[in-house]
Amino acid sequence: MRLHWHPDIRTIWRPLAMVMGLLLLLTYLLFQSRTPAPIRDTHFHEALQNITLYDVQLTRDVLLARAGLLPHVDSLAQTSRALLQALATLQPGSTEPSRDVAMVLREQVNLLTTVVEQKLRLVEYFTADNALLRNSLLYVLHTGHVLPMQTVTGGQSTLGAEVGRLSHALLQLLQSPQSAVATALLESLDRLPRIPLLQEELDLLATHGRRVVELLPQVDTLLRQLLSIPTTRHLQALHAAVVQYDARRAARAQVFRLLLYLVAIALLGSLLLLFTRLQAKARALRTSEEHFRAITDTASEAIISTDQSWTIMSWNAAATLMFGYEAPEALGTSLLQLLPACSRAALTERLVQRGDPGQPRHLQIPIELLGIRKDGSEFPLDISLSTWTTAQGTYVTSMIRDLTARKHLEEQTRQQELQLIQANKMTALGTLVSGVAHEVNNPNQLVLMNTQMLADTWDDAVPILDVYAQQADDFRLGGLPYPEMRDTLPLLIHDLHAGAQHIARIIDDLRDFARPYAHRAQEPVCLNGAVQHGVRLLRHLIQRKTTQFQVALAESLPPVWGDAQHLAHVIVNLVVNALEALPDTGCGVRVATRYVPEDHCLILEVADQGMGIAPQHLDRLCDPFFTTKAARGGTGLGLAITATLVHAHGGRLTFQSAPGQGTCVCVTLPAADSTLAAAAAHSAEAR
Amino acid sequence: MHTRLFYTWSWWWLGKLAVMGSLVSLLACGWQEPWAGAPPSPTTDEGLAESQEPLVPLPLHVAADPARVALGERLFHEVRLSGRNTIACATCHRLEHGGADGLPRAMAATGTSLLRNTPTIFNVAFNAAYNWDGGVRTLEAHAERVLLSPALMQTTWPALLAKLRAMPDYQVAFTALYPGGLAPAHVLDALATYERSLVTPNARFDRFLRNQPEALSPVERRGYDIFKAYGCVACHQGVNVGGSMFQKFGIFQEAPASHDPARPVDLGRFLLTQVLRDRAVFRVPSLRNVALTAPYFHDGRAPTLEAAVTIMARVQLGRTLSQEDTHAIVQFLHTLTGEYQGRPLTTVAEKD
Repeated sequence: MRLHWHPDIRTIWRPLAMVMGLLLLLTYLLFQSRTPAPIRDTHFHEALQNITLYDVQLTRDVLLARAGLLPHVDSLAQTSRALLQALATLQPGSTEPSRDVAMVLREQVNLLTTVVEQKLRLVEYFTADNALLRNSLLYVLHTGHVLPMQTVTGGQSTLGAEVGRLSHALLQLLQSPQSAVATALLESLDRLPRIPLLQEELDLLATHGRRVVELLPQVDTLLRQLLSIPTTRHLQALHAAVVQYDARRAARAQVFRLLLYLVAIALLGSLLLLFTRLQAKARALRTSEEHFRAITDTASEAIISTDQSWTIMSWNAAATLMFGYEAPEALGTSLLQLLPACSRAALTERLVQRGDPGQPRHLQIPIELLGIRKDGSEFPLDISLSTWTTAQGTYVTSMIRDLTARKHLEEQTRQQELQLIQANKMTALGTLVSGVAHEVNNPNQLVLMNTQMLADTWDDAVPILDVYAQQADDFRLGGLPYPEMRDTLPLLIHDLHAGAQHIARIIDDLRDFARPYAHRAQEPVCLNGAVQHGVRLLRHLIQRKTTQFQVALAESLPPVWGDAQHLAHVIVNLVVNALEALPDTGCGVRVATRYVPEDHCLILEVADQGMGIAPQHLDRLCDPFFTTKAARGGTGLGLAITATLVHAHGGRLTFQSAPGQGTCVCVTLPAADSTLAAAAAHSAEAR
Repeated sequence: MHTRLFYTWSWWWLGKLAVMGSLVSLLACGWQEPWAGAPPSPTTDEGLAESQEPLVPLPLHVAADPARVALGERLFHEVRLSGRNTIACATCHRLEHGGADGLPRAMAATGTSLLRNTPTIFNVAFNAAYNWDGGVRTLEAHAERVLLSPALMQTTWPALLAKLRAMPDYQVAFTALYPGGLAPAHVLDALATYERSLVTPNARFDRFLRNQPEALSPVERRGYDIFKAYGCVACHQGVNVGGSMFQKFGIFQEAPASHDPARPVDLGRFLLTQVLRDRAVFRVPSLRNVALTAPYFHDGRAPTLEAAVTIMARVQLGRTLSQEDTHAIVQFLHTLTGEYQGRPLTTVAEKD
């Protein structure tokens, strides 16, 4: 729940932290590298300029006041106040980035403030003393002017003269304030006559005069002190300090700007790096996806993954081959439509519980069901399911195998097994039959011999018995009257003999059938020769059965590797069958041979226009003891023997027949290898 | 899908950075410090040529922000500015009494008077320093000192601001007039703006200075001449007829002892600067509207103008004035009474 919105925070926290750290650093550097606030600096410089101006103004006004040209000291007071205000704005604020620089600045400002305040205090004292000085001077001048006029009585000329001298001395003092002149003035004051009427005024004059003498140097000293205060120097130092400070701040800002640039580059670089890593990872992911997709695509089984409602989500190439649907048309459809209705229930009930999230669950045994291809044909398939559950739901993977081929093979195997069993049976039967034939043959030979003897004996006995029968009446022989018996008994003996001969024939055939083929020396055999040999053997039968007997032998046939006698035996059997199938002599039999070079084999055909074979018998023609000629004494072993012989030569026996349309028996024999044939011919000649 | 998320996230961060950067630069540009304005300059009055007279008339108009003046006036009369909600600025600086309280010494909060005589609140804009010892250089500093003094208004800034904040119309007014609303600096600024607007121009003497010789009677004219000739004008000079310099009280003679021998001798500016030269040095008071601000001197020892003039002449100038001279000077001093809001200032002060 905590980090649900970004479940992969664990994998990306490192690059994320790095990028965020760089961004924070960038922001910090941005703040640090901003150009120093210009407005405050403008104010600072303005204040410095103002202080300089006010200082000059102050000095000027002080001098004017000293010279008596300033009517009132308001300007001095105002300039002082303006100076103090300007100084107040110089005090550094709270936003100084570098403390040691600000300390220097503050020191300078404090020095300047001290110096200016000193000057202002001196101005204050100067103002006060200057006022008194001017007052006293004014009084002295005024009185010096008025007083002589008031001396009415005679003998006061000394007063006038004294006042005159006083005025002169005062003028001298004002012109050149030296102690000698001051002393002269004081002496002049002392020499003032004492006039009772004007005593108060004279006393005041003297007091004021002394005050002038006292104040003049004081005022001048104050003035010189005032002028000597090094405000200009301090202002310049402060200005220089400010410029230096500004330069340092600008340099610092420059450094930070450079750092900002570098960090920006680093950030860019790291972003690029992350980007390329991202791309590489994406590529790796794609490759891995392709790899796994290739696995599913090249799998020979159909791998289909669906969600829990059987909607197909992935479809591989084998599935396309199996079901016939292309991936685009299969995705999104239901898996159940690929199964017939009966199979769907079986599939759905396999999905029972959900497993743990993320853990795939295999549903053990694959089940065999039927599937429907796109063309609608059903085929057997084998489906195994596994499920896995994620936060998004449960998914099912089905792996399907097409069982058609397997089933076919299984069927073939079963057939072959049956045939094997049958062959085994036949072999066993052969063995049995051979034993039985041998066992039966012995007594049968005896019977044959004895019946012959019996026939001979009867022939010898008949005249005797004839003679006897004439003599005796009612001569019974074997319960029957003799004349009957005389005609019947030879028939009986004949039948007996015939029966024994039949048995002997059967035994011969059985023996032929069961004869284990010892490998007689195999040699290249000319098929045409064998045909002719066989035909020769059956000359009489052929003449009797048909008038249409054709033999068509191909020229220059390659030899067949095998036994000439056996081949002749085969031919004889087949021709005999063909002849006995003919209903009348008008129907014909045709024997032909030819060579098929592509298959490297020879074909022997025996075709007749006989009765044909019913289709239900075609499969059983080569079965031992299968015969349609039982009434005529057929043993049912002829074709069995033929088939065995043909197979021993590596050939094939095929039948084509329909009832009423005749039969064609086709024997395919492999041609002998020419080199082997030549070698064998050589060895035969050598022998 | 996670790569896409990362992409959008990084773009978001970059966007945020851009916004922050622009905001920062805007802030840096827009940041301004308040710049204290220059004081009014009374020496450059409109329509008046450079004069050689030691006294200068008050300017007829003084520029002020009327809204701030109104707010300052409210605060000036606001008793809640004091700790016990008993006194306001106007309690001592009574506008109907020439801007002073008519007492020899100002009344302290504790009831006893150890303070000096209350100076007038009129024309304070033209004084170079404030208080009898010139300890304060600006009106704002003086107002703050008075507000926070345990002997006077007895308040603290937090308490004061809380009281003002509780009154919504003050809140609204301050927010409207000052960036930052209710703050100590703004309260002081409002008060000072109001006090600076308390100018009393157009006194008869001012009209005389503005080339209306008929504004003064001959006696008053003679009084002005004596004022100049005897040297009173050496200290009581300028636009405010004083208030611009310091001077010793007792030049030719020691100033007479105060009425109450039990009180210590007031050493004036020495108590502030500890410089021997400053013993008994006081700020030269303004003589404008002096007829209305009895009693006189730093301890209010002179109940009438005549007494004050007599003491001054003897102590500062070493003269004993004749009756006519005193009378003339006093008459002259009466012409320094100006007009406030179009009407001449009046009090109970008698005119002889």
